[in-house]
Amino acid sequence: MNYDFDVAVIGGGPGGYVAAISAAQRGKKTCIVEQNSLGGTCLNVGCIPTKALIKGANVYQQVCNAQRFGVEGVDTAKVTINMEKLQSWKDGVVKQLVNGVKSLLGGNYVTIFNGSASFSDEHTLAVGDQTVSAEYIIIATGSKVAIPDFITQEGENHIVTSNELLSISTLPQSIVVIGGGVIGVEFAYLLNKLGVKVTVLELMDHILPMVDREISEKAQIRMTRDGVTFHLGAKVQKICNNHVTFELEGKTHKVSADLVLMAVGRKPNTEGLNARAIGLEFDRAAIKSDDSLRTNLSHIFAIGDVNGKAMLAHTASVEAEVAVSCICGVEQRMNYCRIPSCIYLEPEIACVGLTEAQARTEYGEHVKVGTFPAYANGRSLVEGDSDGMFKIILDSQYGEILGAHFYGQHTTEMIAEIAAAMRAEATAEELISSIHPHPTVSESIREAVLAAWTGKAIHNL
Amino acid sequence: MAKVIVMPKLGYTQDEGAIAQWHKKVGDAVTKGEPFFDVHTDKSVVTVEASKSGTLLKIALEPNVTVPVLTPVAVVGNPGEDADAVLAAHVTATSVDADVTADFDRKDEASPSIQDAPAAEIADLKLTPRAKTYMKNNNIDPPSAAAIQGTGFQGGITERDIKASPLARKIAQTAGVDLNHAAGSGANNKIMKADIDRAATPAPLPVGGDKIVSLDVPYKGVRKIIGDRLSKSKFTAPHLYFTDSVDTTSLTAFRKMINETSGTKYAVSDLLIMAASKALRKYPGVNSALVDEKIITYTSTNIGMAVAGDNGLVVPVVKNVQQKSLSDVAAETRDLVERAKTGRLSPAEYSGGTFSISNLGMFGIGNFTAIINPPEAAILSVSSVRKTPVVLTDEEGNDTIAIRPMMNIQLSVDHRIIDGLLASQFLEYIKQLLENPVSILL
Repeated sequence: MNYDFDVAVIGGGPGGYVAAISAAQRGKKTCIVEQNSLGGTCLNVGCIPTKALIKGANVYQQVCNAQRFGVEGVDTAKVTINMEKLQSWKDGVVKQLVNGVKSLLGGNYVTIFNGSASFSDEHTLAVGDQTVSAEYIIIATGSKVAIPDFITQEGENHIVTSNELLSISTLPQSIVVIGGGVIGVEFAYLLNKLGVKVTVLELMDHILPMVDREISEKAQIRMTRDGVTFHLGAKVQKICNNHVTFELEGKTHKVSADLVLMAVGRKPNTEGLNARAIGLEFDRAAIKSDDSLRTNLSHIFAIGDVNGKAMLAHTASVEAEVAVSCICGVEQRMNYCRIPSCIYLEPEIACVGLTEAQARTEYGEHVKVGTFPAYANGRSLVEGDSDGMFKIILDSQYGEILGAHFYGQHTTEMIAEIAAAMRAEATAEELISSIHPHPTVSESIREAVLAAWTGKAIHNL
Repeated sequence: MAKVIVMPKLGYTQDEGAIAQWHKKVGDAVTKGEPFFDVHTDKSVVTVEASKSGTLLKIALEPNVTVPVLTPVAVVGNPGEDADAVLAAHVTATSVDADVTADFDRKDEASPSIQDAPAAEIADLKLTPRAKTYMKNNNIDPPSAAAIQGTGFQGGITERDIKASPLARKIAQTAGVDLNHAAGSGANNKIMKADIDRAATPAPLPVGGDKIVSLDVPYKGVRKIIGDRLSKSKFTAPHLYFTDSVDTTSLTAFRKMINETSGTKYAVSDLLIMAASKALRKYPGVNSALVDEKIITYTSTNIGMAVAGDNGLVVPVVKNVQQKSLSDVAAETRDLVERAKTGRLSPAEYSGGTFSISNLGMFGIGNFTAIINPPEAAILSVSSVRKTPVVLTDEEGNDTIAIRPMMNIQLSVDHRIIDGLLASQFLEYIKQLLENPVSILL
């Protein structure tokens, strides 16, 4: 049987384009199908644009607070943020990256099809009026914002999702954010820094569920201090015009705002794929795939958000390489236990592995926990923000690193140290005996490990 | 100057040993003469004292890993000295000397030449064959391997020194998993935690197979040493066996009498040792050994008693029985057997025998054959006392059948140096002594 391609990839996000480049690099004749802009949610309406806007908000704050460093001549009353200009800065970054992906694909001789793909049969895709066949197919169609159906919508409401919010050129006066996960909290942070009155409604009793409680609580306290209102345990019932009605501790409350951001999560995107018709199995909305990313049809793989496993850009990219490796005959498996998460507040949150609560459930008594406060770290003080905390969770028997949860300056750049250490199965002792440069925030990692393993950090009583 | 401490050779026949326990941690002060570490030798655990004062800089051998004698186990010196460099210099400088009997007082590293790890070819490095293959297959250049501190013999680099995660190593050590037997699933087949967990979990029992495995234990340590010695004895010394039955009526009465008279409790074994000693003096040809192409006959009657200890078979030796009284022997035996059971004998206490006795009488066995304990030339096996019909002939030549408490004794001899006649005479004399026990003490 002859196919047009060895490998066809559906979706050009961080899962799909990495899969296509990787397959091409391994000598496979590869094509990629993208219906919108290359780069997927991540580059266009996710990771990159939010961080670009947050960068703008942080610069704005720094200018407003520059006096503390002796910078004079700034009339803070006159300092404002021009959303249109910030948006065009963001768009420039996005455009550069999207073009970068395009040239990487081209440079690796990947054929790009613009359009949406639909399965005609197990090996054939219809893209517009074209037909593309391939021996192996990788589904990387991502996810879209989920709108829960238990929230009643009435009247002329002002509900937006992250997609619309990322391109607004006029800031609202106030906003209600429904959902205290990463997306909701990052937008709450961004808008608060830009001067918007923010109210966050979260169903659970804490925000940022993947982060250790001790740290998410610190972040919540900091944001509250900066003016964000949090209602935890709030069950949103109705959105009517500008009013959001929610139940809290048995009572009904109402909050009004110019906009309502729906940030309760995302769901796999399989629209128009015709996946069920060719016999692909689903797990609720997600296409089911195993640890090697194979679906129930052994030549079809599902990577990234569409398989519903982790919904993170960097997970999708790793899944892409695992799937391609399997296609090329080298079996690999994903390990979902060591995926770092980064949350771009100020200070930043970065974590990997188990939270203390999870570790205590899994390892019982055999857990050692150490923390180190940012105020005891020189570089954190130099940076002018010492609210942070570094937390390390170890297995007490061997010093295995079970989890790391950092809240501090530049921590998103530092969590890879722990991810690499965990991957290499380094233990507390290897981290302690690794020299961390001075003066850096990263010294706090070593101190937290010392605190966990020996009970005593050098620079903290 | 830092000093390398090696696995001591604590006995003539000891080729390898394992640390049972460290009394010190890295960084601890060590004073000459105080307990430093315990060594599992072939038969017991011996506490080794520090031969040098200083700070314990490095432990090069974790407990329960068996290594050849003279393998470096630790470095003692002044704080701040580079233990790894000293160890590397030691490995480079030391040549194996099989005749060295004790080790931890070596003087030869008085001025070890510390040098940078030499740019070496694969052939120059102390590598196991698997390690060499691994290096070749993975394009690891020899100079980079020269910096690796090996864990193999004489600090040689084994394959495991190259690829296992730190966590996997720790778990392997605790779980007693040999890294060489774990298949690696990490990057470049590096051995990871999951691989150790797999290796530590017994293979699933074969269902419907001929043999269902309940336990799979490596043949090593004390068990292997005992096995190796017994095989060597059985396969090199042509064994010849002689059996007879002893009427223990008088022996039992005699023992009861002396126990009541003296207030001390004498065991049958004590009387057996005394009887054997007496018989060996009468027939010194049995009290001999074949060592280095020489037949050595001893004046000393050093008699070993096989004891089932916690760690396997041990044979503590009562030395120079010919010079000792029954009460001396009884007291000494009691002490030795007690300590043998818990593995706290010194090597001197279970070596140097000239003859052995294996007494399984208390286990009710009818008769059995023993393997000679090398380099000795004979062993007496003693079975249980059983009421047996025997034919007795009175002074007038009339035969009658009587029920008597009979005990089988059997002599195994090394036929290379002991002939049948001598063996028969010896065994018959033992029988006479046991049937007329007063004569044991005369």
